[in-house]
Amino acid sequence: MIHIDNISFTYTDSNIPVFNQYNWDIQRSEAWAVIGPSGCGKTTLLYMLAGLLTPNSGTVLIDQDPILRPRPKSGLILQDYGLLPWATVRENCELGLKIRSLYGADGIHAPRDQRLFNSNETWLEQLGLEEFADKFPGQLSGGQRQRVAIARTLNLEPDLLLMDEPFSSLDVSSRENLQDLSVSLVDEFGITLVLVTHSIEEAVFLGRKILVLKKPPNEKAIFIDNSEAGNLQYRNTPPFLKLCQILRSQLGTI
Amino acid sequence: MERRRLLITILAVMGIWELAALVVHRSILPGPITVITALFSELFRGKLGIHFLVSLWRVIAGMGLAIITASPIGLLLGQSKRLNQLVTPLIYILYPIPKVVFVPIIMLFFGIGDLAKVIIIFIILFFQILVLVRDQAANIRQELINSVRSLGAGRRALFRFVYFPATLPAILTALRQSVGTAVAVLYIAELFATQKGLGYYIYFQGSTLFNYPAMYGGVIAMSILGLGMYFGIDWIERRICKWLFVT
Repeated sequence: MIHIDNISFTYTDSNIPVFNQYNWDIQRSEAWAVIGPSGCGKTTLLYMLAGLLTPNSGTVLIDQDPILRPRPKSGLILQDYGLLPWATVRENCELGLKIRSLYGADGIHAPRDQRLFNSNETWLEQLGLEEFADKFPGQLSGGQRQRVAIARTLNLEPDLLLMDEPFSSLDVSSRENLQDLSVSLVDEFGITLVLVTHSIEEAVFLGRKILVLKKPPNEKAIFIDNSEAGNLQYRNTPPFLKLCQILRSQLGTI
Repeated sequence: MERRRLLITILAVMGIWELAALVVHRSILPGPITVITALFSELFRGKLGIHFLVSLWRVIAGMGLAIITASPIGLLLGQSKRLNQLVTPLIYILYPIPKVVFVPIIMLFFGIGDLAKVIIIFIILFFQILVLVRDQAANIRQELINSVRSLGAGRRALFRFVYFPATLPAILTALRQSVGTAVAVLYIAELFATQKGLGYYIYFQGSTLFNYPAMYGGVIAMSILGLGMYFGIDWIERRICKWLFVT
Protein backbone atom coordinates (compact mmCIF):
# COMPACT_ATOMS: atom_id res chain seq x y z
CA MET A 1 0.00 0.00 0.00
CA ILE A 2 2.76 2.42 0.99
CA HIS A 3 6.08 2.42 -0.75
CA ILE A 4 8.77 4.76 0.45
CA ASP A 5 11.20 4.86 -2.37
CA ASN A 6 14.75 6.04 -1.79
CA ILE A 7 13.84 9.18 0.12
CA SER A 8 16.30 11.68 1.51
CA PHE A 9 15.35 14.51 3.80
CA THR A 10 17.48 17.17 5.47
CA TYR A 11 16.15 20.09 7.50
CA THR A 12 17.37 23.45 6.21
CA ASP A 13 19.07 24.27 9.51
CA SER A 14 21.03 21.01 9.63
CA ASN A 15 23.83 19.38 7.66
CA ILE A 16 22.97 15.83 8.63
CA PRO A 17 20.15 14.21 6.65
CA VAL A 18 17.41 12.68 8.80
CA PHE A 19 16.84 10.12 6.06
CA ASN A 20 19.35 9.16 3.42
CA GLN A 21 18.13 7.00 0.52
CA TYR A 22 15.67 5.33 2.83
CA ASN A 23 13.24 2.63 1.74
CA TRP A 24 10.26 1.21 3.58
CA ASP A 25 7.13 -0.74 2.58
CA ILE A 26 3.81 -1.07 4.35
CA GLN A 27 1.12 -3.54 3.32
CA ARG A 28 -2.59 -2.84 3.64
CA SER A 29 -4.12 -3.43 7.11
CA GLU A 30 -0.75 -3.69 8.78
CA ALA A 31 -0.24 -2.08 12.17
CA TRP A 32 3.14 -0.41 12.45
CA ALA A 33 4.67 1.31 15.43
CA VAL A 34 7.60 3.67 14.83
CA ILE A 35 9.96 4.17 17.72
CA GLY A 36 13.31 5.84 18.27
CA PRO A 37 15.14 8.45 20.34
CA SER A 38 14.20 12.15 20.22
CA GLY A 39 15.29 13.79 16.98
CA CYS A 40 15.49 10.48 15.10
CA GLY A 41 12.92 11.61 12.51
CA LYS A 42 9.80 9.76 13.67
CA THR A 43 7.52 12.74 13.20
CA THR A 44 9.30 13.78 10.00
CA LEU A 45 8.59 10.36 8.54
CA LEU A 46 4.94 10.48 9.60
CA TYR A 47 4.52 13.98 8.16
CA MET A 48 5.94 12.76 4.85
CA LEU A 49 3.36 9.95 4.86
CA ALA A 50 0.70 12.54 5.69
CA GLY A 51 1.76 14.79 2.81
CA LEU A 52 2.63 17.66 5.13
CA LEU A 53 6.34 17.39 4.27
CA THR A 54 7.89 16.29 1.01
CA PRO A 55 11.27 14.55 0.80
CA ASN A 56 14.20 16.38 -0.83
CA SER A 57 14.56 13.43 -3.15
CA GLY A 58 12.83 10.11 -3.64
CA THR A 59 9.08 9.56 -3.43
CA VAL A 60 6.42 8.48 -1.00
CA LEU A 61 3.84 6.40 -2.87
CA ILE A 62 0.48 5.41 -1.44
CA ASP A 63 -1.58 3.17 -3.72
CA GLN A 64 0.93 4.08 -6.46
CA ASP A 65 0.17 7.80 -6.13
CA PRO A 66 3.03 10.10 -5.13
CA ILE A 67 2.15 12.01 -1.95
CA LEU A 68 2.71 15.72 -2.42
CA ARG A 69 -0.12 17.00 -0.24
CA PRO A 70 -2.51 15.49 2.34
CA ARG A 71 -4.37 12.54 0.87
CA PRO A 72 -8.14 12.46 1.42
CA LYS A 73 -8.17 8.85 2.61
CA SER A 74 -5.40 9.28 5.18
CA GLY A 75 -6.30 10.34 8.71
CA LEU A 76 -3.84 12.10 11.01
CA ILE A 77 -4.08 12.12 14.80
CA LEU A 78 -1.67 14.33 16.74
CA GLN A 79 -0.63 14.46 20.37
CA ASP A 80 -2.29 17.83 20.96
CA TYR A 81 -5.60 16.69 19.37
CA GLY A 82 -5.78 19.50 16.78
CA LEU A 83 -9.35 20.36 17.68
CA LEU A 84 -10.84 23.77 16.96
CA PRO A 85 -11.25 25.37 20.41
CA TRP A 86 -14.13 27.55 19.20
CA ALA A 87 -16.17 24.67 17.81
CA THR A 88 -18.30 22.24 19.80
CA VAL A 89 -17.58 18.51 19.85
CA ARG A 90 -20.25 17.96 17.20
CA GLU A 91 -18.92 20.77 15.00
CA ASN A 92 -15.39 19.40 15.38
CA CYS A 93 -16.58 15.94 14.41
CA GLU A 94 -18.26 17.38 11.32
CA LEU A 95 -15.26 19.51 10.32
CA GLY A 96 -13.80 17.09 7.79
CA LEU A 97 -17.19 16.67 6.14
CA LYS A 98 -17.70 20.44 5.98
CA ILE A 99 -14.29 20.86 4.38
CA ARG A 100 -15.17 18.20 1.83
CA SER A 101 -18.48 19.80 0.98
CA LEU A 102 -16.68 23.14 0.55
CA TYR A 103 -14.52 21.70 -2.21
CA GLY A 104 -16.72 18.89 -3.51
CA ALA A 105 -15.42 15.52 -4.67
CA ASP A 106 -12.42 16.97 -6.52
CA GLY A 107 -10.02 14.11 -5.80
CA ILE A 108 -7.63 16.57 -4.10
CA HIS A 109 -9.42 17.71 -0.96
CA ALA A 110 -11.97 14.90 -0.98
CA PRO A 111 -11.98 11.48 -2.63
CA ARG A 112 -13.51 11.49 -6.09
CA ASP A 113 -15.85 8.67 -5.14
CA GLN A 114 -16.96 10.23 -1.87
CA ARG A 115 -20.49 9.51 -0.82
CA LEU A 116 -22.45 12.36 0.65
CA PHE A 117 -23.31 11.09 4.05
CA ASN A 118 -24.26 12.54 7.37
CA SER A 119 -23.73 9.50 9.48
CA ASN A 120 -21.21 11.16 11.78
CA GLU A 121 -23.61 10.53 14.65
CA THR A 122 -22.44 6.97 14.55
CA TRP A 123 -18.84 7.75 15.45
CA LEU A 124 -19.93 10.24 18.06
CA GLU A 125 -22.08 7.49 19.55
CA GLN A 126 -19.66 4.65 19.06
CA LEU A 127 -16.91 6.53 20.83
CA GLY A 128 -19.23 7.53 23.68
CA LEU A 129 -19.16 11.23 22.87
CA GLU A 130 -22.84 11.93 22.41
CA GLU A 131 -23.30 13.41 25.86
CA PHE A 132 -20.48 15.90 25.15
CA ALA A 133 -21.75 16.86 21.69
CA ASP A 134 -22.54 20.46 22.62
CA LYS A 135 -19.49 21.04 24.79
CA PHE A 136 -16.30 22.78 23.70
CA PRO A 137 -12.93 20.97 23.68
CA GLY A 138 -11.75 23.10 26.62
CA GLN A 139 -14.44 21.47 28.75
CA LEU A 140 -13.22 17.92 28.07
CA SER A 141 -10.47 15.76 29.52
CA GLY A 142 -7.45 14.85 27.40
CA GLY A 143 -8.78 11.37 26.72
CA GLN A 144 -12.16 12.71 25.62
CA ARG A 145 -10.51 15.28 23.34
CA GLN A 146 -8.45 12.58 21.67
CA ARG A 147 -11.63 10.54 21.19
CA VAL A 148 -13.19 13.55 19.42
CA ALA A 149 -10.11 13.84 17.19
CA ILE A 150 -10.37 10.13 16.36
CA ALA A 151 -14.13 10.37 15.69
CA ARG A 152 -13.51 13.37 13.42
CA THR A 153 -10.95 11.41 11.41
CA LEU A 154 -13.01 8.21 11.26
CA ASN A 155 -15.99 10.14 9.89
CA LEU A 156 -13.95 10.58 6.73
CA GLU A 157 -13.65 6.78 6.39
CA PRO A 158 -9.86 6.66 6.12
CA ASP A 159 -8.00 3.57 4.98
CA LEU A 160 -4.78 4.77 6.62
CA LEU A 161 -4.47 6.16 10.13
CA LEU A 162 -1.32 8.09 10.98
CA MET A 163 -0.82 8.80 14.66
CA ASP A 164 1.88 10.98 16.19
CA GLU A 165 2.32 10.15 19.88
CA PRO A 166 -1.45 10.32 20.22
CA PHE A 167 -1.77 9.01 23.75
CA SER A 168 1.40 10.24 25.43
CA SER A 169 -0.23 13.04 27.40
CA LEU A 170 -3.11 10.90 28.66
CA ASP A 171 -3.56 9.13 31.96
CA VAL A 172 -2.99 5.37 32.04
CA SER A 173 -6.61 4.25 31.81
CA SER A 174 -7.50 6.64 28.94
CA ARG A 175 -4.32 5.59 27.17
CA GLU A 176 -5.03 1.86 27.42
CA ASN A 177 -8.63 2.45 26.45
CA LEU A 178 -7.65 4.28 23.26
CA GLN A 179 -4.91 1.76 22.51
CA ASP A 180 -7.58 -0.94 22.62
CA LEU A 181 -9.74 1.16 20.30
CA SER A 182 -6.82 1.45 17.84
CA VAL A 183 -6.45 -2.32 17.83
CA SER A 184 -10.13 -2.77 17.01
CA LEU A 185 -9.92 -0.23 14.18
CA VAL A 186 -7.24 -2.30 12.50
CA ASP A 187 -8.98 -5.60 13.14
CA GLU A 188 -12.58 -4.65 12.41
CA PHE A 189 -12.20 -2.08 9.66
CA GLY A 190 -8.94 -3.19 8.11
CA ILE A 191 -7.45 0.30 8.55
CA THR A 192 -3.70 0.49 8.08
CA LEU A 193 -2.08 2.00 11.15
CA VAL A 194 1.22 3.83 11.50
CA LEU A 195 1.76 5.00 15.04
CA VAL A 196 4.72 7.05 16.16
CA THR A 197 5.48 6.69 19.83
CA HIS A 198 8.28 7.08 22.33
CA SER A 199 6.73 4.49 24.62
CA ILE A 200 8.26 1.04 24.26
CA GLU A 201 5.19 -0.59 25.83
CA GLU A 202 2.86 1.17 23.40
CA ALA A 203 4.99 0.19 20.40
CA VAL A 204 5.02 -3.46 21.49
CA PHE A 205 1.30 -3.52 22.28
CA LEU A 206 0.14 -1.90 19.03
CA GLY A 207 2.82 -2.55 16.44
CA ARG A 208 2.61 -5.89 14.69
CA LYS A 209 5.73 -4.56 13.10
CA ILE A 210 7.96 -2.11 14.91
CA LEU A 211 10.14 0.23 12.89
CA VAL A 212 13.16 1.33 14.87
CA LEU A 213 14.73 4.63 13.91
CA LYS A 214 18.12 5.67 15.16
CA LYS A 215 20.03 8.90 15.40
CA PRO A 216 20.25 10.43 11.90
CA PRO A 217 21.10 9.67 9.26
CA ASN A 218 18.65 6.76 8.89
CA GLU A 219 19.72 4.75 5.87
CA LYS A 220 18.10 1.36 6.24
CA ALA A 221 14.73 0.37 7.65
CA ILE A 222 15.27 -1.71 10.78
CA PHE A 223 12.15 -3.46 12.02
CA ILE A 224 11.02 -6.14 14.43
CA ASP A 225 8.15 -8.58 13.79
CA ASN A 226 5.68 -8.71 16.62
CA SER A 227 2.81 -10.89 15.51
CA GLU A 228 1.30 -11.12 19.01
CA ALA A 229 0.51 -7.39 19.02
CA GLY A 230 -3.10 -6.38 18.76
CA ASN A 231 -4.26 -9.05 21.18
CA LEU A 232 -5.97 -7.21 24.01
CA GLN A 233 -4.61 -9.75 26.53
CA TYR A 234 -1.04 -9.24 25.31
CA ARG A 235 -0.09 -6.65 27.94
CA ASN A 236 1.92 -8.08 30.83
CA THR A 237 2.36 -11.52 29.22
CA PRO A 238 5.94 -12.90 29.30
CA PRO A 239 6.47 -12.48 25.50
CA PHE A 240 5.28 -8.87 25.73
CA LEU A 241 7.66 -8.09 28.58
CA LYS A 242 10.49 -9.89 26.84
CA LEU A 243 10.05 -7.91 23.62
CA CYS A 244 9.90 -4.68 25.63
CA GLN A 245 13.23 -5.65 27.16
CA ILE A 246 14.77 -6.44 23.78
CA LEU A 247 13.57 -3.16 22.35
CA ARG A 248 14.78 -1.25 25.39
CA SER A 249 18.27 -2.70 25.02
CA GLN A 250 18.23 -2.01 21.25
CA LEU A 251 17.26 1.60 21.80
CA GLY A 252 19.82 1.85 24.58
CA THR A 253 22.64 0.98 22.21
CA ILE A 254 21.56 3.52 19.57
CA MET B 1 -26.14 40.65 41.84
CA GLU B 2 -24.21 42.41 39.03
CA ARG B 3 -27.18 44.62 38.16
CA ARG B 4 -27.81 45.46 41.80
CA ARG B 5 -24.22 46.53 42.22
CA LEU B 6 -24.41 48.63 39.08
CA LEU B 7 -27.55 50.35 40.31
CA ILE B 8 -26.00 51.04 43.74
CA THR B 9 -22.91 52.51 42.05
CA ILE B 10 -25.02 54.77 39.82
CA LEU B 11 -27.03 55.95 42.82
CA ALA B 12 -23.85 56.58 44.84
CA VAL B 13 -22.30 58.64 42.00
CA MET B 14 -25.49 60.68 41.72
CA GLY B 15 -25.58 61.18 45.49
CA ILE B 16 -22.00 62.51 45.53
CA TRP B 17 -22.77 64.67 42.50
CA GLU B 18 -25.88 66.15 44.18
CA LEU B 19 -23.87 66.83 47.32
CA ALA B 20 -21.10 68.54 45.32
CA ALA B 21 -23.71 70.64 43.49
CA LEU B 22 -25.16 71.76 46.79
CA VAL B 23 -21.73 72.63 48.20
CA VAL B 24 -20.47 74.46 45.07
CA HIS B 25 -23.85 76.10 44.53
CA ARG B 26 -23.01 77.66 41.15
CA SER B 27 -24.68 77.38 37.77
CA ILE B 28 -21.62 75.63 36.28
CA LEU B 29 -22.43 72.53 38.37
CA PRO B 30 -26.13 71.73 38.20
CA GLY B 31 -27.38 68.74 40.20
CA PRO B 32 -28.15 65.37 38.57
CA ILE B 33 -31.94 65.79 38.64
CA THR B 34 -31.71 69.13 36.78
CA VAL B 35 -29.31 67.55 34.27
CA ILE B 36 -31.40 64.44 33.68
CA THR B 37 -34.51 66.57 33.19
CA ALA B 38 -32.58 68.70 30.68
CA LEU B 39 -31.24 65.54 29.00
CA PHE B 40 -34.71 64.16 28.36
CA SER B 41 -36.17 67.47 27.24
CA GLU B 42 -33.21 68.05 24.87
CA LEU B 43 -33.51 64.51 23.61
CA PHE B 44 -37.21 64.65 22.82
CA ARG B 45 -37.84 68.34 22.23
CA GLY B 46 -34.36 69.63 21.36
CA LYS B 47 -31.75 68.33 18.91
CA LEU B 48 -29.62 66.16 21.21
CA GLY B 49 -31.00 63.00 19.58
CA ILE B 50 -29.77 64.07 16.13
CA HIS B 51 -26.32 64.96 17.50
CA PHE B 52 -26.17 61.61 19.27
CA LEU B 53 -27.08 59.71 16.11
CA VAL B 54 -24.50 61.64 14.06
CA SER B 55 -21.75 60.77 16.54
CA LEU B 56 -22.93 57.16 16.73
CA TRP B 57 -22.89 56.90 12.94
CA ARG B 58 -19.31 58.27 12.80
CA VAL B 59 -18.12 55.74 15.39
CA ILE B 60 -19.83 52.81 13.68
CA ALA B 61 -18.65 53.82 10.21
CA GLY B 62 -15.05 54.24 11.43
CA MET B 63 -15.29 50.94 13.24
CA GLY B 64 -16.66 49.10 10.21
CA LEU B 65 -14.01 50.57 7.95
CA ALA B 66 -11.27 49.57 10.41
CA ILE B 67 -12.58 46.01 10.73
CA ILE B 68 -12.85 45.37 7.00
CA THR B 69 -9.38 46.76 6.25
CA ALA B 70 -7.29 45.89 9.31
CA SER B 71 -8.51 42.30 9.78
CA PRO B 72 -7.43 40.97 6.37
CA ILE B 73 -4.10 42.81 6.56
CA GLY B 74 -3.54 41.51 10.09
CA LEU B 75 -4.38 37.98 8.91
CA LEU B 76 -1.98 38.29 6.00
CA LEU B 77 0.85 39.59 8.20
CA GLY B 78 0.16 36.90 10.78
CA GLN B 79 0.46 34.19 8.16
CA SER B 80 3.49 35.51 6.33
CA LYS B 81 6.66 35.89 8.37
CA ARG B 82 8.47 37.69 5.56
CA LEU B 83 5.74 40.24 4.99
CA ASN B 84 5.45 40.78 8.72
CA GLN B 85 9.19 41.42 9.04
CA LEU B 86 8.91 43.96 6.25
CA VAL B 87 5.99 45.86 7.78
CA THR B 88 6.78 45.51 11.50
CA PRO B 89 9.15 48.53 11.68
CA LEU B 90 6.42 50.74 10.20
CA ILE B 91 3.85 49.51 12.71
CA TYR B 92 6.44 49.85 15.47
CA ILE B 93 6.83 53.53 14.65
CA LEU B 94 3.17 54.36 13.99
CA TYR B 95 1.41 52.26 16.62
CA PRO B 96 2.41 54.17 19.78
CA ILE B 97 1.73 57.66 18.34
CA PRO B 98 -1.33 59.14 20.05
CA LYS B 99 -3.62 59.34 17.04
CA VAL B 100 -5.29 62.52 18.31
CA VAL B 101 -2.31 64.49 16.93
CA PHE B 102 -3.44 63.53 13.43
CA VAL B 103 -6.77 65.35 13.87
CA PRO B 104 -5.63 68.67 12.32
CA ILE B 105 -3.78 66.90 9.50
CA ILE B 106 -6.74 64.71 8.62
CA MET B 107 -8.97 67.77 8.61
CA LEU B 108 -6.60 69.51 6.24
CA PHE B 109 -6.79 66.59 3.85
CA PHE B 110 -10.39 65.46 4.25
CA GLY B 111 -12.12 68.68 5.18
CA ILE B 112 -14.41 69.29 8.08
CA GLY B 113 -17.25 66.97 7.09
CA ASP B 114 -18.20 63.50 8.21
CA LEU B 115 -15.42 61.78 6.28
CA ALA B 116 -12.63 63.36 8.35
CA LYS B 117 -14.25 62.26 11.60
CA VAL B 118 -14.83 58.73 10.34
CA ILE B 119 -11.20 58.54 9.24
CA ILE B 120 -9.97 59.67 12.64
CA ILE B 121 -11.91 56.89 14.35
CA PHE B 122 -10.74 54.50 11.65
CA ILE B 123 -7.06 55.30 12.27
CA ILE B 124 -7.36 54.77 16.03
CA LEU B 125 -9.06 51.39 15.63
CA PHE B 126 -7.09 50.29 12.56
CA PHE B 127 -3.74 49.83 14.29
CA GLN B 128 -5.23 48.21 17.35
CA ILE B 129 -7.12 45.64 15.26
CA LEU B 130 -4.17 45.12 12.93
CA VAL B 131 -1.74 44.35 15.74
CA LEU B 132 -4.07 42.08 17.71
CA VAL B 133 -5.29 40.15 14.66
CA ARG B 134 -1.72 39.77 13.39
CA ASP B 135 -0.53 38.39 16.73
CA GLN B 136 -3.52 36.10 17.02
CA ALA B 137 -3.04 34.74 13.50
CA ALA B 138 0.69 34.25 14.09
CA ASN B 139 0.04 32.38 17.32
CA ILE B 140 -2.26 29.75 15.85
CA ARG B 141 -0.46 26.51 16.62
CA GLN B 142 1.10 24.76 13.65
CA GLU B 143 -0.29 21.46 14.98
CA LEU B 144 -3.82 22.79 14.62
CA ILE B 145 -3.14 23.88 11.04
CA ASN B 146 -1.49 20.56 10.17
CA SER B 147 -4.35 18.66 11.65
CA VAL B 148 -6.98 20.64 9.73
CA ARG B 149 -4.91 20.38 6.54
CA SER B 150 -4.85 16.63 7.00
CA LEU B 151 -8.67 16.71 6.82
CA GLY B 152 -8.32 18.07 3.29
CA ALA B 153 -8.29 21.81 4.00
CA GLY B 154 -6.59 24.11 1.53
CA ARG B 155 -6.22 27.87 1.93
CA ARG B 156 -9.92 28.58 1.54
CA ALA B 157 -11.01 26.08 4.18
CA LEU B 158 -8.20 27.12 6.53
CA PHE B 159 -9.40 30.71 6.31
CA ARG B 160 -13.03 29.76 6.79
CA PHE B 161 -12.58 27.24 9.61
CA VAL B 162 -9.36 28.32 11.35
CA TYR B 163 -8.09 31.83 10.69
CA PHE B 164 -11.41 33.66 10.61
CA PRO B 165 -12.89 32.23 13.83
CA ALA B 166 -9.51 32.40 15.57
CA THR B 167 -9.22 36.13 14.94
CA LEU B 168 -12.77 37.11 15.91
CA PRO B 169 -11.92 37.50 19.62
CA ALA B 170 -8.88 39.60 18.65
CA ILE B 171 -11.06 41.96 16.61
CA LEU B 172 -13.56 42.30 19.45
CA THR B 173 -10.85 42.80 22.08
CA ALA B 174 -9.24 45.50 19.92
CA LEU B 175 -12.59 47.26 19.54
CA ARG B 176 -13.33 47.06 23.24
CA GLN B 177 -9.89 48.35 24.17
CA SER B 178 -9.98 51.33 21.88
CA VAL B 179 -13.60 52.35 21.50
CA GLY B 180 -13.23 54.63 24.56
CA THR B 181 -10.24 56.39 22.99
CA ALA B 182 -12.12 56.62 19.70
CA VAL B 183 -15.09 58.36 21.33
CA ALA B 184 -12.73 60.74 23.18
CA VAL B 185 -10.93 61.68 20.00
CA LEU B 186 -14.25 62.05 18.20
CA TYR B 187 -15.17 64.65 20.83
CA ILE B 188 -12.01 66.63 20.00
CA ALA B 189 -12.69 66.33 16.27
CA GLU B 190 -16.25 67.50 16.67
CA LEU B 191 -15.10 70.70 18.36
CA PHE B 192 -13.71 71.98 15.07
CA ALA B 193 -15.83 73.73 12.50
CA THR B 194 -18.82 71.43 12.54
CA GLN B 195 -22.44 71.80 13.50
CA LYS B 196 -23.30 68.19 14.10
CA GLY B 197 -22.23 65.69 16.73
CA LEU B 198 -22.08 65.47 20.49
CA GLY B 199 -18.70 67.26 20.72
CA TYR B 200 -20.16 70.27 18.97
CA TYR B 201 -23.34 70.06 21.05
CA ILE B 202 -21.46 70.02 24.38
CA TYR B 203 -19.20 72.88 23.37
CA PHE B 204 -22.05 74.95 21.90
CA GLN B 205 -24.33 74.53 24.91
CA GLY B 206 -21.55 75.29 27.40
CA SER B 207 -19.54 78.07 25.74
CA THR B 208 -22.09 79.83 23.58
CA LEU B 209 -25.51 79.34 25.16
CA PHE B 210 -24.25 78.90 28.75
CA ASN B 211 -26.98 76.24 29.06
CA TYR B 212 -25.07 74.15 31.59
CA PRO B 213 -27.77 71.52 32.31
CA ALA B 214 -27.96 70.79 28.56
CA MET B 215 -24.15 70.73 28.36
CA TYR B 216 -24.02 68.14 31.14
CA GLY B 217 -26.82 66.28 29.35
CA GLY B 218 -24.51 66.15 26.31
CA VAL B 219 -21.68 64.82 28.47
CA ILE B 220 -23.96 62.05 29.74
CA ALA B 221 -25.05 61.27 26.17
CA MET B 222 -21.40 60.97 25.12
CA SER B 223 -20.70 58.70 28.11
CA ILE B 224 -23.67 56.56 27.12
CA LEU B 225 -22.27 56.37 23.59
CA GLY B 226 -18.90 55.09 24.86
CA LEU B 227 -20.41 52.77 27.46
CA GLY B 228 -23.01 51.50 25.00
CA MET B 229 -20.35 50.62 22.44
CA TYR B 230 -18.28 48.88 25.13
CA PHE B 231 -21.16 46.80 26.44
CA GLY B 232 -22.44 46.17 22.92
CA ILE B 233 -19.09 44.67 21.92
CA ASP B 234 -19.07 42.64 25.13
CA TRP B 235 -22.55 41.34 24.32
CA ILE B 236 -21.55 40.39 20.77
CA GLU B 237 -18.45 38.60 22.08
CA ARG B 238 -20.52 36.54 24.51
CA ARG B 239 -22.81 35.52 21.70
CA ILE B 240 -20.31 34.68 18.98
CA CYS B 241 -17.30 33.59 21.07
CA LYS B 242 -19.18 31.31 23.45
CA TRP B 243 -16.17 29.05 23.88
CA LEU B 244 -14.31 31.80 25.75
CA PHE B 245 -16.93 31.92 28.47
CA VAL B 246 -17.48 28.26 29.28
CA THR B 247 -15.97 26.65 32.33
